Amino acid sequence: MVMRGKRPGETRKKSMTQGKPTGSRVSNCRRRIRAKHLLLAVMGIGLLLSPAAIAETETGTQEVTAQVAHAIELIVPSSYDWGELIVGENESVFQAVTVKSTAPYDLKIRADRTNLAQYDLAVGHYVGGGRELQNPLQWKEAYSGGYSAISTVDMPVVIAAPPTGSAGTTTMIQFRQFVSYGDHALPDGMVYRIVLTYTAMNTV
Amino acid sequence: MLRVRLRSGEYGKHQDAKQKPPACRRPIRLVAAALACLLTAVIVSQCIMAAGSGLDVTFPDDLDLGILAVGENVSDLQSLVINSDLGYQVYVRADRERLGQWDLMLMRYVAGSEMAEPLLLTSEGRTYVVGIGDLLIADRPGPSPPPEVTFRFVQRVGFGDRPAPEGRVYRILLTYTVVQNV
Repeated sequence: MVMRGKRPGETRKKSMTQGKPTGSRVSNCRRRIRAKHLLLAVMGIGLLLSPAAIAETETGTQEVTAQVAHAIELIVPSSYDWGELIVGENESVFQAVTVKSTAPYDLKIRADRTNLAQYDLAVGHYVGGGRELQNPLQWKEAYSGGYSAISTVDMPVVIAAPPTGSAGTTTMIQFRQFVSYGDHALPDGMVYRIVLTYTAMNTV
Repeated sequence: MLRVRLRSGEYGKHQDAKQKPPACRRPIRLVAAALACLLTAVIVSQCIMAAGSGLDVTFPDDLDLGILAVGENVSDLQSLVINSDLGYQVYVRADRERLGQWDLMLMRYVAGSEMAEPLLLTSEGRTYVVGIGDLLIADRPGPSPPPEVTFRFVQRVGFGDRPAPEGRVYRILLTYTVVQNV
């Protein structure tokens, strides 16, 4: 006979198998064991019969990358008929210039000449040697600063404006024209004219 | 299972001692045996099914959409090639709701810099919005479904979207799951 020490498990087993439990304790023990095994069986069957466990699946990944281009869009006012100018100061209504840009931008303005000049509507060009208004056209950003004489080179209206978002950013420009008695009224078919050019440019 | 084995050993001890196991053990052994049989049967049937129904999928390569212009940008045709003798379903999900700026050095997204519009997926005349939830893009019943699922991505860009600075791109990670019908 080999003598050995007791293990903790043995003590527990003995107490279950060789002890003298009452009838109700045995019954409780059976119920607990049955319940546990039934639960295990149900869980096992449920897991194994679920579509996720049975269905064969494969997964794969795909990385999608992109860059956004620098983009800018400019909406300028349509042709403006100032009507009949009076002697003295004449101010235009606000002219809206809208920029849409994904990046910071500059907005500039220039003209094809500094003074409005006689233009033949029938032939569609300036009259050579024709008349010009004596005072240059002036412009300003409507809500800031004073008037400046227009130039044939680009002049900044807005510098390093932030990206606009989808709605865009509108800048209001106003013009002023002084008329004197030295200026002449023109015959029918003739007008005083100037062409303005707006430039919006990303600054990156 | 561990407990079942322990008790089997215990039963062995009783056998050695030429004793019958206690009456309260018999139902346990029966339940354990029944469970073992059931599990074996299910596993074997599953193995037979798996052996009989092959699934082999080729997923699309990583995709560089290039430089997106303002407006609608459509990708090249993408395809999953699925060899399956049973019907299948294809799901796609993304790691985020919209393409976000990805720092190429740090290999992580830059917070608060997502595109305004979500990525769209068009397939067989339908348009889906790609997001973090699984999206069913193809449901091909068996027994011999067509082997290819094709689609394109559409990304709308507006003036509210900013070009990513150098060292960053816009990125989204897609996961495709192909599930065989059972």
